[in-house]
Amino acid sequence: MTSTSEKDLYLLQKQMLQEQRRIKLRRLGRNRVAVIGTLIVLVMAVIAIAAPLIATHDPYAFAVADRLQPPSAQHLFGTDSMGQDVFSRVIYGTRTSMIVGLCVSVSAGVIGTLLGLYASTSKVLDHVLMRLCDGLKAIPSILFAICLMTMLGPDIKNVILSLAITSIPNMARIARSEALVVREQTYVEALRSTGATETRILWLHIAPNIISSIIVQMTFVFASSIIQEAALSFLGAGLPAGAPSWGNILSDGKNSIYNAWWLIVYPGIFTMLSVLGFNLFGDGLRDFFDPTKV
Amino acid sequence: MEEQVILDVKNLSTTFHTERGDYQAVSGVSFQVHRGEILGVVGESGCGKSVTSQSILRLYDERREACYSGEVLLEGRDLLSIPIKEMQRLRGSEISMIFQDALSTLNPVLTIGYQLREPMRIHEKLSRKEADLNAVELLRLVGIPEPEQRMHQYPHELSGGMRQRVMIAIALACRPKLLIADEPTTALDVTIQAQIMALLLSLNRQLHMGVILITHDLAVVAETCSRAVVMYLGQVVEEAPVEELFRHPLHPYTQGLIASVPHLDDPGKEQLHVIPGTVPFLEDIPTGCRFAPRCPYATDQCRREMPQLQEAGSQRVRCWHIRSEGGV
Repeated sequence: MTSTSEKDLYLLQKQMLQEQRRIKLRRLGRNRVAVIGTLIVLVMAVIAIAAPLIATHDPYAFAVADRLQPPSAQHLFGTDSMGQDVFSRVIYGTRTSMIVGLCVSVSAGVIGTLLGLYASTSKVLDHVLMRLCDGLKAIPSILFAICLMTMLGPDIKNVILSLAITSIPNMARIARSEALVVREQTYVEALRSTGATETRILWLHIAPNIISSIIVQMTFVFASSIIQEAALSFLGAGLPAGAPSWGNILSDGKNSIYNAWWLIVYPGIFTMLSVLGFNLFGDGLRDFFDPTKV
Repeated sequence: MEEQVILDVKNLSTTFHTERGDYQAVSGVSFQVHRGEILGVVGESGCGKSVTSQSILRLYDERREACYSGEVLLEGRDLLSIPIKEMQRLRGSEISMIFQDALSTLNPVLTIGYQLREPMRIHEKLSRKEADLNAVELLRLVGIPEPEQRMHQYPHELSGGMRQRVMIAIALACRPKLLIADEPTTALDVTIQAQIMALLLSLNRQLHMGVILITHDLAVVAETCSRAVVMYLGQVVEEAPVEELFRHPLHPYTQGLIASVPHLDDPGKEQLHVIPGTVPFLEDIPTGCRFAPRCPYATDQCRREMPQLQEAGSQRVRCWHIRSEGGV
């Protein structure tokens, strides 16, 4: 019987982790759709981070003389009714959308998971939390967001807040239902028989089981909050008028839709692509996270 | 064998609260487990074997599901009356348990190593490194090849037999004094069953702990146990050293069980013995002897009054016919 030295054990662990990661990445690489989604997400992220470097003009600068110019070498996506450069505004709009998407999905994910996990622990808490969620879900989310926005005023923080509030109930329900399924598994009972406390079971054993569904759901929330932010801004209940956001550009463009197609088409394409990208990315992640599929 | 009693179960009853009323799944079970012995608990499906074992660990939620009565003394301390916090401390360190379904008792998203470390981290407050090294030794103890690699694998990468070995390793992590094995081989195929039983037997000798082996397989009992308890409908009907039990079973139910095991060396092509009828539901438990409706020897007295467990040599039997004839 040989005894293992610590060094060997951890060296082996490193090797095996690397191997598992390699296998997973290769599998992800074979999944074309997921690769496309990941690429779109990466491009959007780069655009958002490097917006000041990519933009050719100041997104707020007026040039009344250059009103409603079609796309040209100087204005790649043309100009709007106040002579602002649409390309730069779309690029800065990407930044807005990504910030909104990220903040909403992360906060809804974290709060939703917390609520869902604790709802699964006791019947009373379950009823209270889930009826609250039912109450929130009873109101159409976009209407609810508009209501909140009119109360809070147009500002990016308020957009994030109201979208997060409307996304939490779904998140909490998913976390709760997954946690309830895991809770009934034999291994939870076996854990109890090894003396694990309920808190330990909840955080170290149930949480890792549901986290992949939560992350996947977060990418979908990301996508839907991009749409919702655009919708709110389009309706004038989102970002302050004039701020670069895809919804605002679309809203400006609807007045001159027949003689300036570029005002609608470019922000529209960006919105569509990013939503598609995040959904594909989420599907890919779902496969990636499933440890039973190697 | 040392005659030191580790676990003394006295008159244990477990009652479940359900929508349709309270049902007593285990009523008045008593037995003892000595250090270093394997005690077999035998009986048909639904006779309360598993409930008994889970009641010893108090795994049913006392606020909602169940209520216990009687005493379960672990080295003199009554497990049923200590606070639940204390019970949590004992679970996994003094008593641990192996479950029937080897395939679903490991968490699919955590590595084998993580789950092996768990009991040591909970009870012995070991650092991760110490626990890791112990875990490798445990895997080696239960006969898993290349334990260092297994540590970093996930349960689905292991076969059923391997997973049950891992479960045994987890149960042994803190060197418990008592191991409860609840049909540890039901989900496994025959060759693996034999390996697992041999492993349990050798571990029992090596570590000198008491083992309660719950099974419906009499062959397993004959091979591994020193004493056996036969249960029927939540009661102990017979308790005896294994040799006595197989040589002259006293209770008609035990006789039926033994007669219904197929023998390879049987010359004739007779049909297997079948105990007539099925285990009744808990709702209509017979008033007298619980086995009376299925017993070929049942008399009026059997149907009217419940017999008590009586000593008969080295055996204890719950049957009216013992006193009159010294066995049926």
